[in-house]
Amino acid sequence: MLRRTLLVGVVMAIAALLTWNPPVFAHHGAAVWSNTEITLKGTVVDYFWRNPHVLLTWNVTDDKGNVVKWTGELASPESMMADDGMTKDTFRPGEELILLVRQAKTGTPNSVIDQIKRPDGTTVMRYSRQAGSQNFAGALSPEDQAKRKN
Amino acid sequence: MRSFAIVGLVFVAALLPFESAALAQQNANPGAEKPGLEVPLITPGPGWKPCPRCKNEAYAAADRKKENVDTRPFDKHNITGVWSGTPQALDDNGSNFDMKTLPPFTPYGQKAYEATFSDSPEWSSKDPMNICDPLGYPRSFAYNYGIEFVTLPGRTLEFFEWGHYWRDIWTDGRKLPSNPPIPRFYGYAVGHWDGDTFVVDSNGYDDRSWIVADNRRQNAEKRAAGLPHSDAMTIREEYKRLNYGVLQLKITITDPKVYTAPWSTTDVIALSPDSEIAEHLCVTSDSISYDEQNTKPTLSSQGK
Repeated sequence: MLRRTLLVGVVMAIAALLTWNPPVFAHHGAAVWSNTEITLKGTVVDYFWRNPHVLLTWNVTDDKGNVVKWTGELASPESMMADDGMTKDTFRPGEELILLVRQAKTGTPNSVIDQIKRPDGTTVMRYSRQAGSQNFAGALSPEDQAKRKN
Repeated sequence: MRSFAIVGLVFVAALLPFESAALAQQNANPGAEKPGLEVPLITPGPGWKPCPRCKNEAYAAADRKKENVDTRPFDKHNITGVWSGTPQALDDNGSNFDMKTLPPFTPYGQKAYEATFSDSPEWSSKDPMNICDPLGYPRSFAYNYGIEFVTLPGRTLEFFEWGHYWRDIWTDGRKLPSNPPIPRFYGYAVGHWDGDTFVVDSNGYDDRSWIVADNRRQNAEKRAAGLPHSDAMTIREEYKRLNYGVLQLKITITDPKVYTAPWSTTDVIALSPDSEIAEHLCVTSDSISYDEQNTKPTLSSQGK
């Protein structure tokens, strides 16, 4: 029994070591996004709970009253459900959100979302699993952010 | 048996430096803890189970522990069940192919490979996935959100969560067609048991699908690419259930038009108990809408 268990473990370990691959990107990689996170306060316009990625759009109003519509990428519906407990009913048009995003390098109001909070401070999405997000987990605690910098 | 185990351990030890580097890259943010059981488990309702990717890794591990997958008695000649990820990474998107053993291309294969290069370094513009073309086999196996084998008299069904595809593996004794009349993205497949190994042979593939995306991005411009195949591709799959919760597989791809030698890859996949395949469809209109809203505006003019 011990030998069999050992053999199974060895086979599994070898297979795991031989087959590690970086994550795939189908639509685009991390290169299109800025390396700086910005915080935006906006009002939800649309919430597309669909493949290939959940997409959120929101309006941001500047000091002069100009309104800019932003788009932001999330993971697949399955992933958002599993990792954040989100559903198709999580956001409604008109509600306010505070979003930590990385904007497209093109300067257009498009982004990948790293964190979502409500105005009362409730965290809806703690950190992103999207392209390049391992270096930009905006929802980290200050202690974790310090670890990252070290 | 013992000598094999020792050789295996030495082999693992030799590879540890590489794997450590890989894991360091994968876990570049050590402070970001994975979501766990504190996240509510969402199902369609009482009596319904979550899809493999609809529960996080902590729930998947808890379900495997609850079902005693490592020690539970099992039928060596039955691979029925929902399988997802690997025992080491239960949230993996399918099975990873061993790119290091990829044989060289033939001249024809090299041209077919270069034809998959993206238009720009910024996205994978040639990827059939982007327009919801069928992933085909074996890409549906390599990139999936869970698969399910269902054993029936005379055939085994293989369902793929990503794209909601399936294929028939006929076990009624028929032979592969010598000249399949219509190419199929999922080929023509027949299976039989050889001892404790379920052997599946297939042919008749449509050459428009990729075997897998080429994540090495080794081409000079670092552009995304895919590994092509021709209509001459044949595949042998060998499945062996190591225990109730672990399925070992070896996939050998033979395509003399594209590759100078057969390509074999080995992996293990994990049983995902208390899971149900759901409906992760790739909807063309949704993909187009998504790209118009949040992909194309992010690309430089070169990539549009």
